[in-house]
Amino acid sequence: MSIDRFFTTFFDPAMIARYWPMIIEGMALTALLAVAIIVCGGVLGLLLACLRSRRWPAINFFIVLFADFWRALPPLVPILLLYFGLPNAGLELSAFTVLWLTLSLVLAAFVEEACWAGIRAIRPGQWEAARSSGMGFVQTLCWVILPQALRIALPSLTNRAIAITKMTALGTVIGVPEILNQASSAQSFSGSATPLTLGALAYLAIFLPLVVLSRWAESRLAWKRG
Amino acid sequence: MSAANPAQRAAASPQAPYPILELIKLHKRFGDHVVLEAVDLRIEPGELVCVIGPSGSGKSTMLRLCNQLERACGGQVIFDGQDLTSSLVSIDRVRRQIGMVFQQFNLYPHLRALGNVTLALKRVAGLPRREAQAVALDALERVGMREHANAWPSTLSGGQQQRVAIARAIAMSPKIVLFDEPTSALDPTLVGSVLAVMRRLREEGMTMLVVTHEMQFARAVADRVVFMADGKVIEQGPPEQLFTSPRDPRTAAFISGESN
Amino acid sequence: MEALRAQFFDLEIIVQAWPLLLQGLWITLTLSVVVVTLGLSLGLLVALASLSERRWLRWPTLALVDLFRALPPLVLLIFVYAGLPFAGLQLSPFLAVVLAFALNNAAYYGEVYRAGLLAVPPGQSESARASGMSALQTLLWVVLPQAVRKVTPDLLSNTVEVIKLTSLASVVSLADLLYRAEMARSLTYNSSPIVAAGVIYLLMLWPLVRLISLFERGDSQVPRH
Ligand SMILES: Nc1ncnc2c1ncn2[C@@H]1O[C@H](COP(=O)(O)OP(=O)(O)OP(=O)(O)O)[C@@H](O)[C@H]1O
Ligand SMILES: [Mg+2]
Repeated sequence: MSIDRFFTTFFDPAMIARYWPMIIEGMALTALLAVAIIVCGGVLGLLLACLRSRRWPAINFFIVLFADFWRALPPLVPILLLYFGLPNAGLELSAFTVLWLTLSLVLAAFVEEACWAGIRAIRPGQWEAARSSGMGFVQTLCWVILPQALRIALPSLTNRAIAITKMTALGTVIGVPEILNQASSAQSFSGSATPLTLGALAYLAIFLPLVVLSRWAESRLAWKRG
Repeated sequence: MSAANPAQRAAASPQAPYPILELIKLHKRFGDHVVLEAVDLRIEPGELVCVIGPSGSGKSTMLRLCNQLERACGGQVIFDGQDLTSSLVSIDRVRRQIGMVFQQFNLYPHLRALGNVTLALKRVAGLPRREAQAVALDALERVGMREHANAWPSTLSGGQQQRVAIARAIAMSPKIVLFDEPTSALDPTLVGSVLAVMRRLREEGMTMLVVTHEMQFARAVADRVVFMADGKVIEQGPPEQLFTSPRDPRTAAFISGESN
Repeated sequence: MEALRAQFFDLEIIVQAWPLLLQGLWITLTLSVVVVTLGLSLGLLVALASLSERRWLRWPTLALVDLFRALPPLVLLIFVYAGLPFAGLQLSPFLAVVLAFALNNAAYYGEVYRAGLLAVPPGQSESARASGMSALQTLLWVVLPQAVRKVTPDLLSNTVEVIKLTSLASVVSLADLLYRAEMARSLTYNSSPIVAAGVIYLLMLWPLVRLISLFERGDSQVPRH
């Protein structure tokens, strides 16, 4: 097909003019969801990792179970269950709530694993030095262990935050009007592929800087190490 | 000097009627492996006691029992009149009065030298920031590290790191400081600077319990030397007596082995 | 409580839906094998290209990798499935899913291999070359095995992500496990088939997740308090 047709199919100016506000709305919602998920999932995951470092076997069993479950289950399964199943059992959650809840739990599982790996990487002498100066468990964790552990976990935490934000696109399946949903409904109203291009560009606008930034940060780290 | 110097305080106070630290019939096992068997030890205020003995004899374990980094399987640890093995004792409150210096320094790598010293002053002793800094700078001064207060631990030599660790321990004005082979991880050239700091603390009247392989130091500075083997205290006494006329053949064998 | 049980754990409905679920499982497994195989092999090429000495090869590869890492896989899938027909390229749902996820995962596996290859000390390939091996032999028999061993946990966890990803195929009406379960749900107005599908996913992926954790364990350094 000709270059001309290609452009009018994927970059039709009239379509861009008509649909960009919808895409912007979608971006706002995606950003809102991302913040809500990262705050809740991040805090929950961090708390679980801290609890795990207390090393109570019975509680740790459940933390590991929780983390394994949410790491092994495709997120679409709980999304469908909560959105379509719960109302029949008498509890109706909005699509936004379902998406936020599910992805927060998924993120919490990954954050717990990343933080726990960071905590475990700290030599036991750090715990001993702090405890023998009279600091309690929580103080030691806050002032000595976590500052070091989180620095170690930072690369995987940022990767997980990016990954979970991308997963907000799953909201399109249950009609959360985030970017992808806005783009594909605009595409079906208009019968043009241009809204899809706009949607893809919106994602690139959000994630490309993050991906390039993390690559840059990694190469700087590697260079320092080498 | 704004903060009371603990050593001066100790020197000024009348001799306490009871030992500052007393281990009574202490037992410790790891699984089936008996590490300490009926260990008795008394430390009087102002004393410097050195513990020597072969590797694996339980010296570190005994030291870690003194501040309950390990839990005893039997016996008592009496510190300042309290039995630390009792579950009624709030161990965090007691530990702030017991300093500990480790073989591997264990400085906090994310804090500067000054931050290492102020952390417990702020979080445990509850001093406001400025006061904590004044106390910390004073402690760093006493170990000769004041001009490195803003250095990151990773930029310091082993000897300098260990001196900061000592400052961290003494800044809390502890009633006793425990040292676990404080010079064993150091280059031979750096050992002297750390031992000099410990000598100075001794002169200030600090009570110290030191596990060490530095026989010269033990002989020259200790008030009393304790020889341990196989989880037991075999023999103890003034350094001259223990080094020149040991009563137990195992002590004699160990001392002649070490001095070679 | 009874309402919850009836809605999510109705054994009778699960038994009825079972043959349907098995058909879907078959598609899910095929899809997983195809995408993982493609991802693992394309990813290796991507990693080699992104580490190439030649700039004209390295820079475009890195740009493409970043592009595909920046797009959510579902966006890529919908673009391929619903966008490309406008350009006259109509792919079957299966091919659309394979294309979208293979591109996405070539980028991810590529990054994992790249990290592994970078972690092999350069002395290894130098000594292999010095002993007379060709560049290809050095790569295949000396460098690659070490690189793969270093990043096995990451390769595994990416594979878990790929298999989870295949559940998105249901969005473009490819009749995979989750699609069948969702179909059974909409026929019966009962969510038990989806619960059953979830259990099947867990049975497949839980062992892998455990395996990854075992790889990462080592001795636990956190003391008891
Ligand atoms: N956490 C532990 N678990 C099991 N065994 C231990 C543990 N800590 C110490 N041990 C064992 O207890 C014994 C005494 O150890 P300890 O570290 O107290 O000896 P030490 O006298 O300090 O020796 P060194 O001079 O080598 O430091 C050793 O046999 C050691 O293997
Ligand atoms: Mg020891």
